[in-house]
Formats: sequence, structure tokens, C-alpha cells
Amino acid sequence: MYPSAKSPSPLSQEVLTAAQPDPAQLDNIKTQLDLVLLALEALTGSGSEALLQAAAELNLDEQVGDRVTLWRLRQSNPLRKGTSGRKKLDVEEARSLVLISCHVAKHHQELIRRAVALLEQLTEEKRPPHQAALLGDYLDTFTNTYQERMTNSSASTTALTNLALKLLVDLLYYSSPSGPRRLWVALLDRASHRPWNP
Amino acid sequence: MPLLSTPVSRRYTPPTCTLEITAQTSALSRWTGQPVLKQLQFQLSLEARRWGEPVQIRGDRRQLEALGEAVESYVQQLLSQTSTDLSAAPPAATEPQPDFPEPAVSRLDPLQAAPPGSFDRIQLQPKSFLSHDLFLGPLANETSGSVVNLSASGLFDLATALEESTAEASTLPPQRSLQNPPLWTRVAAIAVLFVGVTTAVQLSNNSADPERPTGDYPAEISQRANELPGASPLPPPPNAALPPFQLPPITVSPTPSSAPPLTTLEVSPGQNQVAPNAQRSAAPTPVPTPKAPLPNITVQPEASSDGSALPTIPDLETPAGTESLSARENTASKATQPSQTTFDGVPQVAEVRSYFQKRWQPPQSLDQTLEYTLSLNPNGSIQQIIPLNQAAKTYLDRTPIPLRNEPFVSPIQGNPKIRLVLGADGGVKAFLQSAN
Repeated sequence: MYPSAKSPSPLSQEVLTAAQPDPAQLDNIKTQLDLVLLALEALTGSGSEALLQAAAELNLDEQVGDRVTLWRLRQSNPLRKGTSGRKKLDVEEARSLVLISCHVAKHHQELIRRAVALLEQLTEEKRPPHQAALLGDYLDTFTNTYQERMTNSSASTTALTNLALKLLVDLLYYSSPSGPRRLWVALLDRASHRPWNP
Repeated sequence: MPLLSTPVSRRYTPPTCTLEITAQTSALSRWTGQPVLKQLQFQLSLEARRWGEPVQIRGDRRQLEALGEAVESYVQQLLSQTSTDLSAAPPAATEPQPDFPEPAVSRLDPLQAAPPGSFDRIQLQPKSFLSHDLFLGPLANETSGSVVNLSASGLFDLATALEESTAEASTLPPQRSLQNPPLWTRVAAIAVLFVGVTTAVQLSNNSADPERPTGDYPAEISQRANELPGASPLPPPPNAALPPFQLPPITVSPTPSSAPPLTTLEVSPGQNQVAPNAQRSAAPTPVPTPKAPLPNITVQPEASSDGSALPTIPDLETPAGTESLSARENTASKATQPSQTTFDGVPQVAEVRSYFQKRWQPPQSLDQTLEYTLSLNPNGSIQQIIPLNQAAKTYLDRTPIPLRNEPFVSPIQGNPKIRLVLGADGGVKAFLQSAN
């Protein structure tokens, strides 16, 4: 099924009912988004307050107006611990989280860039990234928080570190004006497991 | 508003690269609300890793666009491949854990990983998640070599500079030679001259109008030509290319009025000037709106060897007929790459086309063409999707058209409408339907 992320426009009922990605795709998107936010939080310390502020600046209060709503949206990630709470995330909410994430990333672009530059330098010198304080803190926070929150806490440290570093570089691209578009397309591409089709 | 083009230059300077663009602004800029550039040239300076000197690359508008598309689609590919599937063990799991983790870049489509020998395309390939090879293809020169290695931040800077340059200005295709202009420009020229002559007739009958030097007349023609985009659609040209012709002598019958009538307006080819006869020289120059019934004017094109007599008429945007128009154009680029056709007008059209060319996968059951009008918000997102046929309505959810107000293409002033045509064979067409 071709993933459709269609505008809930008043065009037709078929459009409205077909507007959602299918459940498997949506699950994937929820996980992806939660992890992008986790990376942001681990690097920049941007917790709920920062996200809610971004929501206000973007006039997304309706979708993500308060801490509880935000928690519920992130909790919808199927990898999260806890069986209670809402597990649904609709397309509009996903879109809001995309815009919020990129907005926060943009705000911290300098920091993200510095972290990436440090990573490049250490890698070239064949030194572990933990040797730079900024990166060490980031990786520790990411790994610990992941293990606290997610159900598959058996994920290895190496795997988590790899993921954290990849997300760090991704954040750089999400921090630019094209960020939201890039993130949205990436979410859909990954969710549909489509082969790359340039 | 200057009628002649003015040179512009722009510089984009993220930390590890510098992109300089020089171009001429087109008179069309007044219609799009943002600079419309022609004769664009760029110079890119990249501080690629492990090279002492920055790498210098030069090219024209098409190459800049090709580079931009290659970089952006590669970036998107990288992002799409970040795997959150932590059950996938890192490679070489049996080896001792390395000190510096290197997340493997996921397996790429084999077609994408082109062998180093293919120098004809601009493309990128990952060496690791922090290192990328940019194959310069046609942009390679002696000092740059054919491959440049970019770090992650270097790639980001390049993408940023390209993104900013796209966002800031539209570009026009290169000016066609005026030696063989298509019929519609000649029709436009005649129409313009018609208007000019008509108002000249009016003014010759109205001596109260202020005097202006007749030397302004050719400039007025150019200005009228600029005003044509607002007029009704021009007919598409026939298949046969007509030989260039000169502006013919025009006989104008007088209108009933007190002033001496204008008898003949001579137009000499080979000069960009209109040389009025003696009576005409006393008359003031035309004003935009004629105020009386238009006289009969007989226009008979004549063959001539010199087409350069035509005043410079910028490329005009036409609506839905552009598809057949561009198909007949010598300079249509659709054969080589999914980039601009001659009448894109604004780069967002090429962005739309490219967006769908990457994503459009027609469902098996589809046997018709789907047509939509997409109107854009100033931030480049979609304001409205209008399906233009029943199949378009039915299959809307099967197309990759994004949500409204979702980031889609780069920002653009005004409220342009782009016609999108998705073929059942997977083909994608896009053209500017209206600029606002």
C-alpha cells in the first residue's frame, strides 16, 4: 500500500479516511519521532518546556498545548515502557511534532554543528567520541534515557551509541529551513521501507 | 523599475564553502516579486577534507541546479536510512569493539553506488556516515579532479548554500538566440507593435499630450512586451520553424479627428529603432491606453535574413499549453534530466516536478492521467489541492502529494498555481499555471 499522508482536505470522504498512514507505518513514525526528540533532548537539554515553547511559537498550541498532551504524544511510541496512556498519534500530531523538532533543532544549530565537527575531528584522529565532553555527555544521556524509557533495554551500548551519533548528524540537516520537509520525507520513506527511487 | 537587466551577485558563506552567483536580473522580476535571474554563473569553493587548497568549481545555471538536486536527494537518502532498528547488530560483531563507533551507512540501492568510472553525472556516495564522495561529473576541472571528499559538516554546508541560493531567486533558462525566435514571440511582437502604433495614432490626433522624445519608442515596445504576461494566452507555435522576419511597414488609416493623420510608420530592420516619417516626428510618444476605436492595420510578414531587429522580448510564461510548446523547443531540457523546461518560470516548478518524479508510483489499476492544480503558500507549502478530473479525485490518496501547509518546495512570493500531471505510466509533468 502506497503510504499516503494526504491533507485532510474537504475534498472527499475517501481522502479523509485514507489520510492516515497504515498502523505499521504510523508505529514506525512514532518511534522515529520520539528518538529524534530524544537526541535533541540529550544534546541540548531541550525538555518539555522547550518543546512547548516551540509549539507556541509555531502556533501549534492546539495540537501540542500542554505538557500532558506532549507526554501522551511521545508516549505513543510503541517502544516506550508503560501500557497505559494513549497509543495513537494522528497525522496532524505527527506533523506538529516534526515542525516542533526542527524548530528546536534550528534554535540549537550552532551547538549541533559544533558536536558534529568534534565528532569528525575525533574520528579522523581515531579517538573515541567520548573524549570530547560535549559528545561524551550526549552519548551518556542518550543511552541512559533510552534504557530508562524504552522497553527494549537490552539494546547494546554500541548499537545505541551508533544510533545516537547517526541521529546527531541528522539533527544538523533538520536544523536548516528544509528541515521539516527532510524529516517528514525521511519518516515516510523509512516507514514504507521503499527502495530508494531517485 | 529598470527595463534593462541589471547585474546581480550573491554570496553564500557557510563555514566550509563559498558559493558565489552572478547573473542578470530579468524584467520578469516585477511579476514574480522576487529576482528572476538569467545568464547565471556560479563559482563554488569547497574546503574539502585533507586538501590544502579549497576546491574551485564553476558552472552555469543548469549545472547549479543539477548539483543542488544531486546533493538534496543524496541528503534525503541519508536521512531516510537512519535505522532505529537496534536489533540489527553492527557489522563485524565478532571483532573487539572499536574505540570509535562507526555506524554503517545502510546498504544503498546498487544502482546508486555508481562505479568510479562514470564521470557523466554529478553524484554522491558515502564512504562512512561522516565522509562522502562527491563525483563532480561535468563540473570536474583540472584542479578539482573528478572526486571531492566531503565531511558530514562539509556536505551540510554545501547543501545549505545550495538551498539558500535556490530560495532566494528564480532563474530563467538561457536566452534563446534571436536569430530564429518561435512564432509566438513574433506574434507578441506584432501585437505589441499594434498597440504601440495604435496609441501613436491617438496621440498624433491629440496634440494636448506632453511631448516625449521619439527615441523612447523602442523602449516602450519592450515595456509592452513585459506587460503581455497579464494578457490572454498566446497560441502555441506550429511545428515548422518560420524564418526570421522583419517588422513590416504598417499602413494606418486615419481616425476622424482634427489633427493631421498618420499615414505610414516605417520600421527598419537591422536597427532597434522605429524611424517615423516626417509627420510622425512631431507627434508625442504613445500612452498605454488608446481612447478611440482602433484603425485597421494590415500586417504582412516578409522573409528576411536578419531577425535581430526584434526588440528583446523576455521569455513569457504561458499556461497549460506550455507542454506542447516546450516539446517543440530546441532548448527543451527534458531529454537529459528532470529539470526545468523552457517555461518553468520559477524554480519551484522544477522542484515540484523533481519531487514527484522521485515518488510517483502509479497504482496498477490506474489507466488515466491525473491532473491537479496545486496552489502554494508563500512558505512553499501547499495551500490547496484541486483535482481536475474524476480520476484525480479518486486517486488523490494514492499520489504522493503532501499535506497542505506541509513543507514542500522552497518559499515563493505570491500565490502561484502549479499544474501537476501524473501519468499512468509513471510520467510526471509540472508547469506554472499562474504566478499569483
